[in-house]
Amino acid sequence: MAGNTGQVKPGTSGNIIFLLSQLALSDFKLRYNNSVLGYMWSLLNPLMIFGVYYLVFSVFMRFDGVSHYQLYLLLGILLWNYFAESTTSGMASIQYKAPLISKINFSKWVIVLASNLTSILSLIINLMIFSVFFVASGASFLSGMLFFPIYLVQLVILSLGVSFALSSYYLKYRDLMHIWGIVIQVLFWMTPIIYPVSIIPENIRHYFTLNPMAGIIDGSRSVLIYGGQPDPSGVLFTSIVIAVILVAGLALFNRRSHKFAEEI
Amino acid sequence: MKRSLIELNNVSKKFVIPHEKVNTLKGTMLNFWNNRDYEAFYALKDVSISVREGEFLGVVGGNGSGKSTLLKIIAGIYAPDAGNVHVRAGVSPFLELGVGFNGELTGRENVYLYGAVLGLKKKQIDSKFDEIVSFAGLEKFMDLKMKNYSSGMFARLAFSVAIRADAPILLIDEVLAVGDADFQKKCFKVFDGLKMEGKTVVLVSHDTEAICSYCDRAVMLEGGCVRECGDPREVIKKYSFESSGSCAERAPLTSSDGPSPNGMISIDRVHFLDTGDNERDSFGSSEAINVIVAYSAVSEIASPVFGILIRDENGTTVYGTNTRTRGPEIGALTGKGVVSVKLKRPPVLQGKLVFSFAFVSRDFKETYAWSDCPYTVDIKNDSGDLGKVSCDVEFSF
Repeated sequence: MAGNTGQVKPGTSGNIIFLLSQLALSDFKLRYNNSVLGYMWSLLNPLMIFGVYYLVFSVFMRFDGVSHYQLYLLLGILLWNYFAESTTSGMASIQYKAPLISKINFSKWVIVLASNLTSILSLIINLMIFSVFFVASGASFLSGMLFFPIYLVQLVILSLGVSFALSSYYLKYRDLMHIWGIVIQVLFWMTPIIYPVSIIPENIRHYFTLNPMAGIIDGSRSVLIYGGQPDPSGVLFTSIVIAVILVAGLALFNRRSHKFAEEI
Repeated sequence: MKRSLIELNNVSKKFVIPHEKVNTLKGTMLNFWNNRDYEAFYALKDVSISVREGEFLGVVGGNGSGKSTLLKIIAGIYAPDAGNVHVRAGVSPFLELGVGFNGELTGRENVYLYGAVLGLKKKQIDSKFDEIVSFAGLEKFMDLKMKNYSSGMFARLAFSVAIRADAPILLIDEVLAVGDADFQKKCFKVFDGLKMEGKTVVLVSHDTEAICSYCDRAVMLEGGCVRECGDPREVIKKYSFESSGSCAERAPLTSSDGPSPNGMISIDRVHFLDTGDNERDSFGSSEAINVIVAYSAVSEIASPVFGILIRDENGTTVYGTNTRTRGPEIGALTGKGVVSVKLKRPPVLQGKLVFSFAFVSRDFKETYAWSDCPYTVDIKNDSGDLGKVSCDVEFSF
C-alpha cells in the first residue's frame, strides 16, 4: 500500500471550529439558494406533512388511546424529518463540495459534520415551533422533559453515522440517492410515527425495537409529552446500535475518503 | 544543504478509464461479468522528485504530461498507486486556474470559506481581507456572486487568497496564463517576495521565461515521466526545442546557451555574405544575407534537422525556424559540408542580431551540434521605414 506519510493537511487543527462554521454557513446558504422563502422551507416542509397526516389520521381515521395526538404526530414528524433530511444531505455533501475537494487536501469528515450541523439548525427552529404548539395545546411541562436531550443526542449521532456510511459510496454509486429515498419511505412506515406502538401485534413488536429511530421517537414522546421516565435498558440498547452504526460509518468513510477527489 | 520538504520516490498514479463511465450500480453489475471494459492510463510513471526548503521548482510539459496530477499528488489530493510521497510542511495549492470557489456564493463568502479550508483562522482572514481584495483588484465585486465573475477575476482572487495562506509550500498552476499584463507584473512581485521569504514553490507554467528567471531547478514531464531535470535554462531549451516540432509558432531554440550536444556534428565556421559573396558583419535592413555554416560530421548522420535561431541584443528571440518545419529534408550527412541559409532581408530594421545554429535528430531527442559561440551582425536601417521589425508592404490604388 502506497502511503502519504508525513502529509500535513490544512484544516486539521486550530481552526476546525471556524472551518466547520464556514462550511455549515455556506451549506445553509446554498441549500436555500435562489428560493424566495429561503430557509422557511425547512419549517414549512414538516408542517405541511404534519397537516396532511393530521387531517388523515385524526379526522378521517383515528387511533384510539393516543392523547395529545397532534403533539404526538408533530414530534414524530419533526424528529423523522431531521433523520431523513440530514442523512440525504449528508450523503450528497461531499458532492456539493466537489470544487474544494478536487483542489485542496483537507479532512473530509468535516464536510459531512458541517452538513449535519446545518440540518441541526433547522431541527432547532422546528423544535421551537413545536414548543409553540406544545404551549398552545395546553399540555403541561413535566420533569421527564429533562431527559429529552438524551434522545436528541442519539438522533444526531445516528444521523451522523448513517451520513458517513452513505457519503462514502455516494460518489461512486449515484444510485444511492434513489435507493435511500425508497429506504427512507419504507423506514417511515416501519417506525411508529403516525401510529402508536400499541397497534403493532405483540409477536412482532420486538423487531421494532431493533430500529433505533423507533426507540428515539418513542422515548422522546414518552418524556416530553407524557412526562414518563426513560427506560434505561431501551436507551442503552439503542445507544449500542447507534454506536455500532457510527463506528461502521466512520470506518467506511475513512477507508474510502482518499478516493473522493478522483471520483468526483 | 537544506532538508528536502517534498520528496517523491518512484511515484506512479494510474487512472482507470472506463470506455463508458460507470457511475451506477447497474453499470457495475453489468461490468462485473464483462469487466475488461476499461483501460489503465498512467498519469505519472515512476516519478522521483525532491524539492528542498526554499527552492523554486519549475514544471514544464505538454498538455496531459502529468503536471497537474503531480501537483495533486504533492498536495495530497490524490494518493499515489505506487511509491512514497513525503511532504513535510503545509501546502497551499493553487490548481488549474481555479481554486474551489463556489459560484453561488459571493466573493467575500468564498474568501472566508476558502481561507478556512486552507487552515486560516477567522482573525487572520479578517486582517488580510483588504490586502487580498486589493491585490486581486476586486474591491467593487466582493458582494457579487462569483458565478458572475470573469475567469480572470476568479483566478486573481484565488491566487490572492492562496499566497496569503502562509503555508511554507506553494503549488502554483498556470497563474500567469489568466491574468492581464498588470496582474502578471503583480505576480512576479509576489514571486520575488516568496523567494525572499524562503518559501518553497512548485510552479507549473507554459511561460518559459518566468521559469528561467524564477526557478532554481526545472523538471520536464512527458507522458507521466520525468524527461529532464536540472538547470531551468537547459530544461526549457529541450522543452522549447521539442515543442517547436509540434507547434510551428514556437521558436526552435530559446535562451542563451545551448543544450549539451553529443558532438556527432560540429559547426566549424560561420560566414555572413552579401549578394556579392563578400563577408561582412554589418548589413543594411533591405540587403539580403547569405549565411554559410560549415560543419563536419563524425560519422554518417541519417536525416538530421538543421535549425537557426536569431535573437536581439536583449536575448529576445526575433525569429527561429528549422528544416523540419520549412524543408528541405536533409537526407544523410557525412564528412564536411556547408549549409547556406538565405535571408531575403534581415527580420529587423536595425540593431544587433545574434545567430545560433543547431543540428538535431529528427525526433529532436538528440542534439548533434549547437553553436555555442554567438555569431553577430549589425543591421542598419537603410529603408526609411520606422519601427523594430521589417515587413513586406505593398500599396495599390
